[in-house]
Amino acid sequence: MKQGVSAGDATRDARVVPGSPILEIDDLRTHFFTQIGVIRAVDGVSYAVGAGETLGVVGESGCGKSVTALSILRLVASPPGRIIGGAVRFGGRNLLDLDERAMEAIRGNEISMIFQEPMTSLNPLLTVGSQIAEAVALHQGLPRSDAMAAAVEMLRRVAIPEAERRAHAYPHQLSGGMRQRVMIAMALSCNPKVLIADEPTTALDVTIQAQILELMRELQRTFGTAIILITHDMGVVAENADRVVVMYAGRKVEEASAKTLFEAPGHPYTRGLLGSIPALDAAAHRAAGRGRLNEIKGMVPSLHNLPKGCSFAPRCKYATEHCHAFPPPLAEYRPGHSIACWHAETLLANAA
Amino acid sequence: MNSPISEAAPADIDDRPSSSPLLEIRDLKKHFPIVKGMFSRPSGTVYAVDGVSFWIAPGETLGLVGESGCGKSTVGRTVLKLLEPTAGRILVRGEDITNHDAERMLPYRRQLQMIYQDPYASLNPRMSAAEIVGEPLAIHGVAANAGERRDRVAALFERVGLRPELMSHYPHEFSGGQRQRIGIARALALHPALVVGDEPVSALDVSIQAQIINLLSDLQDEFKLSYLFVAHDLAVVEHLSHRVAVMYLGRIVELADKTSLFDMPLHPYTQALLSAVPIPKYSARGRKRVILKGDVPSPINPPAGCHFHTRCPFAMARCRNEAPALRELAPGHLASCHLHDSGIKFPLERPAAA
Repeated sequence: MKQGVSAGDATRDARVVPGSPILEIDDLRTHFFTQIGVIRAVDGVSYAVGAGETLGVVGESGCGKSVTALSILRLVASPPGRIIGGAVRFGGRNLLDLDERAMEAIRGNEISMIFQEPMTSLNPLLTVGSQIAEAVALHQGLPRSDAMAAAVEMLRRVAIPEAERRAHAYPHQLSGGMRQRVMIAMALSCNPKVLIADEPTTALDVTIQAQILELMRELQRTFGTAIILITHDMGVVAENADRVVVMYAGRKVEEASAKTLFEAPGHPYTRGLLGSIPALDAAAHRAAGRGRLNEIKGMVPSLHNLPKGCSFAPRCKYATEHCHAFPPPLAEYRPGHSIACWHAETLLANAA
Repeated sequence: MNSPISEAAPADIDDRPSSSPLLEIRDLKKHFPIVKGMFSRPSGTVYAVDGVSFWIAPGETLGLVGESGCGKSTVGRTVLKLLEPTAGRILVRGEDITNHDAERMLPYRRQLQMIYQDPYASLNPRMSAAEIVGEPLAIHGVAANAGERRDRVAALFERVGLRPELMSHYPHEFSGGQRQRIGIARALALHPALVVGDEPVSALDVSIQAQIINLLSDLQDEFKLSYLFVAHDLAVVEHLSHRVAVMYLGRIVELADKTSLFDMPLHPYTQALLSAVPIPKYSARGRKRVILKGDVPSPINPPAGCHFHTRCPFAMARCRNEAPALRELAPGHLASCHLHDSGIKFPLERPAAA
């Protein structure tokens, strides 16, 4: 597990394709069984992440990016949710086969997760120091006093000023950015191999977001942590991910290195997404007049009533009859660049 | 009104265009008392908006950006007199409406409308979409009868891209993007001159956000609307605005047309804000960035002097006790920063003497 640790430092570019992934999900299916029918929230998703690597997972609300992540740690509420197929391979085991006790030894220890809103994931009745210490004591078997010292050290590592004093603060006494630092400190306290970050900076202001993302990059360089970064913000992905998975309506529609995804995207949905965001750079604001954003018509289909063929076909300007009738398979059109689109070859050729 | 931190009395800024502005705000303040205990003893004051001045020309969009708690939404609400200003003046086409009571405000209410961030919270769940959009027409007695009202609502529906068949549906039956279209149709019903948008696209997914941004631009061109566009997303603000004002802790720290602001940010906060925004391009990686230290101070107890000095990489001794005035440093480009006291310094740097 350690051989790839150095892959994350210095050159963060397209080169980082992990030799041996540390965590791999394979054809994962998580469905929700509700009164209105079966919601296929995650419907055959596969991806992998290597040590020291950041995998970006992007998509809009309801595309299944968070449910996929919750499924990795088996945190999907059941009922109504159920993982009905696939595998989550980690350390030579399929996590879906483990019993609850074995999972508890993995959660927060070998695989940690941080969420969008730290206030809902911190216990309001305990000081932040004791919450981190609890995790350390539980997973590493340290006595309380050593665990508390480790907690203060972690708070210092995530650049919380006056860590010793802040360890005795309750969550409500800290600002949003500070709470997210506490969450990161807690998540990294047991030196996990994988960190799943679900919209870690969405609730934060941009200047604080920049601080937190910088901190995550630094900690990754130090510890060689594999990061799964789930976000809807294409800017955050462009600046932080080594590889990117794009999800739409419960499926992976494209995967590529960050460079390829942003410079030569293949799937019409990815292209649409990139065209629909106003970009804050010199080229954008010098353009004469106000350009029109490239909108994607219509909206995401409901997951209990997906179209028969390609889920994106109803909104796609390239869609043909074939697209409406048959779902496109995900195929590798260029080395390391997979796309689920019947027209991928033509689109890639035209762009080149 | 006699706040301890108003030493930054803005000089009379005369950068107004020759044509008279549609809306003008002069030294607007909105302070909220903090009360404690069963006898509501005042125990402090939130200086949410603390001396803000700007104008908006007909057909123009002024973007108002800043981080949470900087007072930008309070400005939007106070401008429409949804909140009573603590001090300052609000002028619509030169007429002072600051002290107008509800009755005298009525004709102005037609001209000034608002679009809210959360289309889930701002639409009455018990009213059909047609009732929501038609309500302003009924209140202001604009449509002669129910039939005419229906026709106008149908036309509004079509204009904002909603199928008129959906008129009898209720808010919960619409998606987020559609609800925002309902909110826009309602705001447009009375042919307003100014629409204040308070984070109108922040709650939407990017593909839907683009649809609404395009709609807002089209409507502006068609109806010559003025927008006060309040948002935290700089890229969206940059796209929609003609001029942009940057707020920090209750004050405007920089105001300029968008090209000057983005090409030559003269306030260190603007510069940090711009460099913090992630750019969705691979080529933007590894660019030089200013990462600010620390958090925004509390508006209950803002720092003395320049509010930004606690996080400013250029802070000098005088910044800690002397608040810089918002001054016009280049034509139409205002900033409040001591770095430029002896002429514009760009790229920003400390004067040698300090």
